[in-house]
Amino acid sequence: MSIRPLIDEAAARLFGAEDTVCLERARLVTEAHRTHADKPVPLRRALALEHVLRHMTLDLVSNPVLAGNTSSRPRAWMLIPEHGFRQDAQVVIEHPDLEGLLDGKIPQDLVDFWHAGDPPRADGRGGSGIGHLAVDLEAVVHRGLRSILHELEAQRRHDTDPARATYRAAMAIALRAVIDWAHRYADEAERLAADVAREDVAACLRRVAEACRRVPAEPARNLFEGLQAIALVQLAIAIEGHGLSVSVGLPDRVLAPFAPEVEADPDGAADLVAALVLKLAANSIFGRGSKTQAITVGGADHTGRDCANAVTRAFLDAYDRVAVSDPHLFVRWHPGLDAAAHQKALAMLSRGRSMPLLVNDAPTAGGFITAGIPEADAYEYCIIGCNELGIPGRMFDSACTIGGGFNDLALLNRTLLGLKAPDQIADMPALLDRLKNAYADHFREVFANRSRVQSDMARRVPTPLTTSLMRGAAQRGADMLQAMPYRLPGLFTRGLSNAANALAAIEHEVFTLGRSTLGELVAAMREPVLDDALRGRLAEAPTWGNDNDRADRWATALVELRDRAQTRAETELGTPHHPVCHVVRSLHHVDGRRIGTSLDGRDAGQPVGDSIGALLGTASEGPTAVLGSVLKLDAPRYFQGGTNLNLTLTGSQASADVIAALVQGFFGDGGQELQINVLDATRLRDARRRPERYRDLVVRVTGLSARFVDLGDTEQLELIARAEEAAQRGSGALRAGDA
Amino acid sequence: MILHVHNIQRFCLDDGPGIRTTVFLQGCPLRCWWCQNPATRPIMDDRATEWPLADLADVLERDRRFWTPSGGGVTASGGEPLAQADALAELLAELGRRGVHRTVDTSGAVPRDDVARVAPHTDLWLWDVKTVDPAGYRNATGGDVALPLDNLAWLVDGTGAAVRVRIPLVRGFNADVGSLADIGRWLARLPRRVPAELLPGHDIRADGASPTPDARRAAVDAEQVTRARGVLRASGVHVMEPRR
Repeated sequence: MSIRPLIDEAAARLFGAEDTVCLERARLVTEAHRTHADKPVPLRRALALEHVLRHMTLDLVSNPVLAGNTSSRPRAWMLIPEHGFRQDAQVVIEHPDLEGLLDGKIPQDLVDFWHAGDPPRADGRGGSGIGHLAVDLEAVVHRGLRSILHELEAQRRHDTDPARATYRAAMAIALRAVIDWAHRYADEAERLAADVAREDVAACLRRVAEACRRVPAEPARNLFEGLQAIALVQLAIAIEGHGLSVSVGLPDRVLAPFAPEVEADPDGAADLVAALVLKLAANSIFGRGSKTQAITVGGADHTGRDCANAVTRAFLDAYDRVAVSDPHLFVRWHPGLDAAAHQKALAMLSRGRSMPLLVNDAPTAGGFITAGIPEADAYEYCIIGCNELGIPGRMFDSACTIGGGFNDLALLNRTLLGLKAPDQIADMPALLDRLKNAYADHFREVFANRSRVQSDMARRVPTPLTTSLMRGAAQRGADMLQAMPYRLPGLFTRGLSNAANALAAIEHEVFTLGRSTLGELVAAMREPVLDDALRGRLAEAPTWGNDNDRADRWATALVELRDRAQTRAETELGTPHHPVCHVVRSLHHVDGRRIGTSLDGRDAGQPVGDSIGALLGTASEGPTAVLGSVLKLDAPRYFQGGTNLNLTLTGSQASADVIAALVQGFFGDGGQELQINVLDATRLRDARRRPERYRDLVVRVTGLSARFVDLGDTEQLELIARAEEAAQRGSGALRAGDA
Repeated sequence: MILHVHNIQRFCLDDGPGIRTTVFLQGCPLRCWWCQNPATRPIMDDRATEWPLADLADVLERDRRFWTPSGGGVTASGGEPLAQADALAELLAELGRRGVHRTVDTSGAVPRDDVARVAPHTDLWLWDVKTVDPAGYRNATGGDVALPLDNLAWLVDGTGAAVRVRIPLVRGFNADVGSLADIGRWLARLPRRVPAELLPGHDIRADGASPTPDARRAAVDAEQVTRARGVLRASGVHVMEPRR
């Protein structure tokens, strides 16, 4: 019996639901923390998870194909008071109508407990939590949670360190809680199956009941059990309390043993995968706001063997079937990628469907190898957020990188505004020298702060369930924030395009033409808005992203300079190497609000660049030139954490052949990541007028996917501007046929 | 040797196969009333750039990484590229030495020698056939229709050159059934079948704007395009489908 109608109904229920608030988790967690206030924090956290999983409402109605839910109904925000009751700033930028959703909805006793008392909470992260991780689903699916419990038992027999003994006890409680939760679903599914009138629903519920009796405790025996184990574990991790970016890792590799089953019934398999994708989309933290849960498929292993298989194709088919925005889909590209998977991904991009983001194996794994990860593990990389990179169960890039970033434009502005006598800067090298010091000072501050925050969070908000699913956790007996097989703390960046353009403008205006002094430009930066005449003069300078060396050399100079400053600070402080990731999501708005007027022609408070490519409105040479510029940055050396690159094409430009050539040309020469958007300004404007007709229109925003109609004005208008710019490129202004 | 260049445009998808870089050369002998870009007509123009050939070849080659996977290359257009035939032949020869696929997009309204000089260095011709009616051609362009038609016949008959005919569909000039049927019959009589593509006036600018009122007056609608395709096909012409 086909489950397609159930998939369609589940999608309609999910995407049709209004955002509301579900207080269940917040209440249950609070109760548990009150009850267990005398216990060590890791135990309290594990007991709180157990309490939630034991008492929360089970929802087998909204999507009966698989068990698992985070709140009592779709898009009812699950709150994580441990990370505060605030809304994530990015979600509010993307969905301004959600602002204030929590106002007045949280009972005072909960607010009092989490604000006034001293429960184990992480200060300062808002609703964003820890996240940016992918656990070892290989162990979950093929060994089962009970095998991890056995490992913990074996370790506990000769535990001598009380802290480790406590942490191991906490992990065991959390794992057992998940197994019991699955059994609750089994009971509930059996009960509902007996009552329900529809035979297709009853059949699904009986299958859920049988699977949940077995997984995730024991190894999965088939595709369905594998998917069910993944769904339960992913959602349990979300409930444990992470917020953003609990990612799935490489499910097509994990489920590859079931490929023969998929080959026998590819259509049925794609439906099951679609059910999983919807199940994860229903992770209710932030309601319809993106959780940036990444699913990565495809790619090669370290021997060059292609790892794509029938399951990979089932994931692509599933995303083609249900146009979800979150979890967002990444396809790992390499020259030998399975032709069917490759063509499917290109066809979906060409049709503007679910917009898989492409990542190139060679420079990405290469970056990890350069950073010291052994080859075999480097080729197990996956995306763990917008475009941040990790290795499932072995390495993650925690959001403890609070303050763990830098904005090139902010540092340039700070340097310029801090010059005591700007006119004594004789030339560009002298200016860059000052800038290098600003980077070094910033990194010293960031690294010291980060180390403090990370150990603070490990102490306050340990996550024993998530930690137990990382490789070797039973042996280490410590939270993942303290110990992981590999530790490469991420360093996040934005503003490179703006800073490069500002430097090109300074060179042009001050040192080439001598029309202004540096002092005059610095004075102009102190105003909230640039003088129009000056803005016009600055705009005459060449800009980054047009494959013009006169501008592009400033971007390469900046990354080299930053790298030297970073290495200096790391050496001084004895910290591990920090791979740098250019990541945006909506932080270009957040950053921009804090940065004053800048010499790239930007007024105070305006957003910085939305990708590492050309700034909006400056890509006068079209997409191939953008790619040419970005290729001048040595990604494996300077961006080991990845770069996000937006490339917008119009529908008429974006044939599968053209996309294939752009991908092959860019990736063949070492490009790291490519986020293609296929947008048509007329269609987007129509979608704003008649949203009901465009429910399935999924767009790549800036590091996240979203249903266009769900976005707020800011993001919608930004996308329309990008579409308009793309339409003027390439076969635009003057064509050969005009002769 | 130098070339007078009006503009260089990368990521061109409609000027021959694959992803192409199109160099629009300055200068055109014709005066088509629907011309989109009259600024390219004079051979000397303040807005044009004088490019030494080797430098120009280097700049044109920047998108090479996208040519192999797409089957693309460089297209010389204009203006009228054959108006600078000597320098163009040298540029194309240089690009040929670099292994670049070369397309020339021409009205063909130039002396035979100019075509012959460039032909050995051209991998694909995009050849305008605006009309086969001498009076109509003279009125609309100021030129002699015998030049492009004879040159095309010579090219098709006398050389093995790959040729794609381009028919700009212009309302009030050649978009009527009679004009198109005449074009179709003429093309069908060529000694070798060459494919043809339609350039509908309304689609000339991807951003939907037309630079001159005359260019807007030339625009045809989708129905006229479909009809034109039918008329040409009925004459035995192989009409290419639009790219997308």
